[in-house]
Amino acid sequence: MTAHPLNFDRRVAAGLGDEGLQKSLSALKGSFVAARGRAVLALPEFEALRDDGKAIKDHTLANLDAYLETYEAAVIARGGHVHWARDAAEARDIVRAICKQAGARTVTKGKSMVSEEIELNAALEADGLEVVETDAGEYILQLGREMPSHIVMPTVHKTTEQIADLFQKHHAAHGFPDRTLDAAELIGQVRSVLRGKYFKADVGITGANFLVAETGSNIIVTNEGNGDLTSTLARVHIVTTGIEKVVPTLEDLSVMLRLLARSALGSEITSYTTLSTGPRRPGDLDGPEAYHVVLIDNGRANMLSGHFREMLRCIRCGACMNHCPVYMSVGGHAYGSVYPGPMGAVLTPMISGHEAAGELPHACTLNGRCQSVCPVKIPLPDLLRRLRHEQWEQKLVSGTVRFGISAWAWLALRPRLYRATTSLAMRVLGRLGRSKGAFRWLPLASGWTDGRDLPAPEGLTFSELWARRQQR
Amino acid sequence: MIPSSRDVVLGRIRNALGPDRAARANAAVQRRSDIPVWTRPVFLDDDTERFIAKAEASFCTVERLASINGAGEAVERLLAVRGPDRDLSIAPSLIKMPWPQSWKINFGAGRLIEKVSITDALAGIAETGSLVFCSEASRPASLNFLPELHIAVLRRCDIVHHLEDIWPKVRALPVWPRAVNIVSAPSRTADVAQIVVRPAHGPKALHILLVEELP
Repeated sequence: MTAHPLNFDRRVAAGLGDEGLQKSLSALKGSFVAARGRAVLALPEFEALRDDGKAIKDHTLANLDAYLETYEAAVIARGGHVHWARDAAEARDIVRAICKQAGARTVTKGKSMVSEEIELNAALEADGLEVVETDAGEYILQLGREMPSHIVMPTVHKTTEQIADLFQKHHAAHGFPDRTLDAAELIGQVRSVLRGKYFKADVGITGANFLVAETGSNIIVTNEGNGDLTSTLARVHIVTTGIEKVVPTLEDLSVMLRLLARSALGSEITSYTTLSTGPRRPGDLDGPEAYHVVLIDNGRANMLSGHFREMLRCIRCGACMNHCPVYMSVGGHAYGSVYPGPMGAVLTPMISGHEAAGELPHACTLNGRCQSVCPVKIPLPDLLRRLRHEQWEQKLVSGTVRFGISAWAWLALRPRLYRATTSLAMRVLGRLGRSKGAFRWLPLASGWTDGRDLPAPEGLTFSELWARRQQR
Repeated sequence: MIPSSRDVVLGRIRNALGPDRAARANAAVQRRSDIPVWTRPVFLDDDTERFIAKAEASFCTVERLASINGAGEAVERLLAVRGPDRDLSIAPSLIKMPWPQSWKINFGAGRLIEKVSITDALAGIAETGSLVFCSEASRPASLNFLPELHIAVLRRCDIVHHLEDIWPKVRALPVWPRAVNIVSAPSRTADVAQIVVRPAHGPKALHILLVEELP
């Protein structure tokens, strides 16, 4: 996974200044965040389900080798093939080899974040394959050569106007020469352009929301039906998935499904939930002739030891980013990774390394909302704090920040000096700001005051106020 | 000898989880027969009523029929608005039903141009108003996704209470199906500016014929 955190500051500024993005992000609050709230209210058992979901994932992760072997045996028993990939490069090579062996020319793809993570499309295109994303959002991004900015709603940053321009450019050849701003017409074009591709596809690639060890099934949930057409109509079905997606049984899967749709979209269940298991059976009139699963590690197994195991419970619902004030201000592209928001800020360093993650763990206010909505109760703020600590230990924190924090720590360890300094500062600032009640600009702090005013202190420090209160 | 990637990945996992491999294997086997009872949503409504209400809330339409023999007429009424053309795909599992002689019927897999399909569901789920389809030789999965109008036949006695209640039915099939499709609503997307559009790639409409009995 290529992470580009080095220009984090610049991309944050771009996100904050992008009017279209800001409009989309506030719409997200009104739609998906509100819908999730309603769905959770409507299910009194939701909190208990979160505990169950956590318990299921914890149990599976604690016995992961056993469940992966059980899963593998079940896939093979039903005529499928299982491939293991250490990293992204190996995963790409496995998929490329399967496509080559199948004599493939056209590849359709359902939405798969793991395939984004391993940058599969570029590799397949380099082999001369026609690769077609079929999820409407992913298709739009493919035309625009862009990364998703949200793991559930990949096009949340794009305006109707931008999509209309893209389609006018690319769909004229398909009999749609006119620019339209009607969402239904735009989606109608996608349906029309892609319908033939499903039938033409030699290979169909999907991800997996879950794997079931008991049956050897992969599960995909969609509202569009694109993943199902991809996996049903191509000659070969390839599933790209992380090793952490497995759950033991169908009963466990049922719990996870109840959590996923509510957390992601505020729905009780998606339009389509499909379990695919192996290739077509003898006599079947449709379905792939071959079924392959690529189980991808790419940093996940290492997360099992130590503090970050909890992150492997993630079911990629996106609730954490929908409820994150930072994500909701800067948008997904600012993170420079296919996984944005709180879950991305933890996952990106695990997959791409601490150095690649750069500022991401710092893009957090530690307000805790992500943890409170996470369907599997991942302590995201704790994990982000730990990443900050690790970055500090590994001397990956920039000189200026290091100096500032060290200076503050030096001062904070000397209570008398600390009190004298802060008391003086509060009095000076209090007097200077008395007339207007706030500062519009402060020396060395323009980065902060550019976006907001700093309220002027009342003249006393917290310690002084506290001491006074105690006396009373 | 160069270790296989399978050995490497499993080795990494085992390094992280510790030496007690046999205990973990045992735990996984034990879990199959000893499935914990997880929380399920409590609802007291009648399963049929709940199924209909939930399906309708998800933009499906539901029509109750005394017998499958009435299906031909029901479909005719439904298609009246679409003009005289009657080119349908019907799952071969329904081949013996008394369909009108005048229809041109494809008892096979889904085609590139697919206006209307009729398939039969293994079960309905009252909890969510969902239909469950299992692929097999006489039940091609593509018919659930390709048409503009998908008509599903469901026996009332096949409506179960919770999602979990479908698994014993699927496990009881002679062969585990390649595809289990749980369908809860017509196809939709919100990928253009979060505006909900129906359909995306699948059916625009899902009509459920809820029949008291199948012959």
